[in-house]
Amino acid sequence: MEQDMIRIHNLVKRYGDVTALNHLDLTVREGEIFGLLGPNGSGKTTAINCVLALLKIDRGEIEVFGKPMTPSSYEAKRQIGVVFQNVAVFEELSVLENVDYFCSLYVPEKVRRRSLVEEALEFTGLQDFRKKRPKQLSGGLLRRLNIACGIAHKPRLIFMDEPTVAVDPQSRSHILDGIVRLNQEGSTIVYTSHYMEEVEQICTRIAILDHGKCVAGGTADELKGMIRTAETITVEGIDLRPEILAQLKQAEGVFSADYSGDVLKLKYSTSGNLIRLLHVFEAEGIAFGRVFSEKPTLNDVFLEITGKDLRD
Amino acid sequence: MLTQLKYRFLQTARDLGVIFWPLFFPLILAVLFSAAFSGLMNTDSFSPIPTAVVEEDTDIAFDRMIRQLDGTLIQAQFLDADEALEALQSGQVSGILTGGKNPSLQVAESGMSQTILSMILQQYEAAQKLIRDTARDHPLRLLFLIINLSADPGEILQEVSLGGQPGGAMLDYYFALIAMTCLFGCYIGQKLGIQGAANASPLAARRAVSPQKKLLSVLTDMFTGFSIQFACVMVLLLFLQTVLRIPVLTYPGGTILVVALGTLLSVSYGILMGTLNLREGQEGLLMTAVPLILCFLSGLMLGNMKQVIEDKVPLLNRINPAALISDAFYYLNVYSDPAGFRVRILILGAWSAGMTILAFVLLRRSRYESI
Repeated sequence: MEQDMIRIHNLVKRYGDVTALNHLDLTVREGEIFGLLGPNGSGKTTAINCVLALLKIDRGEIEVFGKPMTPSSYEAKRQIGVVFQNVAVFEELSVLENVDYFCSLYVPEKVRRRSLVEEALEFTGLQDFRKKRPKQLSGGLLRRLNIACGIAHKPRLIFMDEPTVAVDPQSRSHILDGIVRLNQEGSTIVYTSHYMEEVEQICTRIAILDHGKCVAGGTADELKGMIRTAETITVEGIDLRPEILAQLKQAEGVFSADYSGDVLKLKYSTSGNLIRLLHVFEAEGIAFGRVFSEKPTLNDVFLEITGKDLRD
Repeated sequence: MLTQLKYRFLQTARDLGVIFWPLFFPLILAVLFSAAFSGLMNTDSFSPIPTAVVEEDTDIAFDRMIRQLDGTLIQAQFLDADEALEALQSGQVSGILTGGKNPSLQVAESGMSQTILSMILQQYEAAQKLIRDTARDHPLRLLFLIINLSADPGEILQEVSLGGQPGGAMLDYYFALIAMTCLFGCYIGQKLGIQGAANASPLAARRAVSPQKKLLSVLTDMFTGFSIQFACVMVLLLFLQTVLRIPVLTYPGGTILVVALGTLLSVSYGILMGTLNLREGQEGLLMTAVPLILCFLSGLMLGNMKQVIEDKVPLLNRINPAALISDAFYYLNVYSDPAGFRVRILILGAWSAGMTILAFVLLRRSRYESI
């Protein structure tokens, strides 16, 4: 049976009058890539910092590897790796020295550490940059160094707090592939992001946070199954008469029709509606520019549950 | 442990932005001081400064000093107060030295000549104070002192002249420079504080979530900061002693003690400020203005400032770390007064201990209200 790597129960964290985490309950199981999804300020980073015992909590319980997590849980900390949102490396040390320094905090034995550092450099593709200082690296390489420093000691549990922020597509792809590889090699990963595509792509289970609460949780498909929208059809460059719009609103499966400018957006509770819609346009002689059908995204899930966009 | 210490050293020592202030800046200032003071003392190219001398009361010592300096440093014109003022206003003299119970200097403008006159007066006052203090605190040493001072004031100047450098007031500048260098350890400390408090930087947060015991991490940081700063001050002292021939290492034990306490104080102060996560305005005030004000009050920018404070608010000189450091050097190297030295060391030690404990407590925090 899969072990619970993290168990958060009834966690409350306040910053003055602001409640950052509001009776949060979460469980992360061994072997998962667990996605924490939510808009900025939803409590993702605060939740991670509480689990890492960096923040004082107001109420609740946090267990890591089945034991309460405190600042002196050194045995647990030894098995945890953290990749913070902001790049956290020493500007004055080279790539190799940085990775070696952070690895030395976990692995005192020099010989073992040397091979771990080499593996981390290879894993992140930084072998050719080992002597460079951080300021000589591009943004993407810097992010990779940030990751190398967090994972060199081969942790069982890795926290990655928005590791792809401000990264070019090529580096982002490299990072995401790396995360999947780490997971395949046995690490459980907690991944926070407000990029829903990334979360959907790599995470095996997802929790959506809003105002410090978990508003929904499950696999991507489970989350999508929780909402009414099964298909969204968007038609651009269309000129609709009011009676046709009324007819479309009454069509089978349509629960929302929005027409503004020359763009029509129809939301269906069933799927496979595109052909039927095109037949209507043909029968009525309506011209249009571009038409496309989309399955619901995590943003639709978030939008329907909270009433606002993930990137608000 | 050794690996971490090695990297902390490397990382701190490679940061030129931080190392410049405690290492290179004082060396540059020392060279500038030396060049300025050497120029002053080069009598071959030096024209005596036209000076009006007003002797209000009979003051043999003052009179002897003036006569000794007449023709070398100054060109004395013995006038009454009104004539002297007239001469000053017409530009015939650069300043008016008035002897008597309260010796004073009056100048009409600022410049090199006026600075030299000011130093002459300070030197005279320092000698007077030395006699007064010795008579009050150590009467038995008075005879020894009188023998030493029995020569004219010019000889006093010669005796404390340091390898072609003038002593007395000018020595104040060097001691204040050493004090400033000690206090500049706050920049190294601040950096270490920022990298040690998880609420101050992501780097510190990354260190805080590691399994390294916090105590070990704090001690590593403090030791790193202290060692590098101590080395910076020692480089300055060696430079002053061997290159500029300023006798600052006459009593190495006492010197090392002063430097160690001053360094500990400033590095701890910096760590404290680093952990407090200061905003830009606060940082400017606490990290730049405070050390500079303390150094200013100890006489770094104006040689007689410490004396002025000693006369008006002596308590300030007893609590100002920069003044305590420069005073300790003075008591060690000039007065050879172990009692005065001990008092300064005790106060400085109390400062250092208090600041170190505070920094240690703040740096040892493991959980934060916010990050």
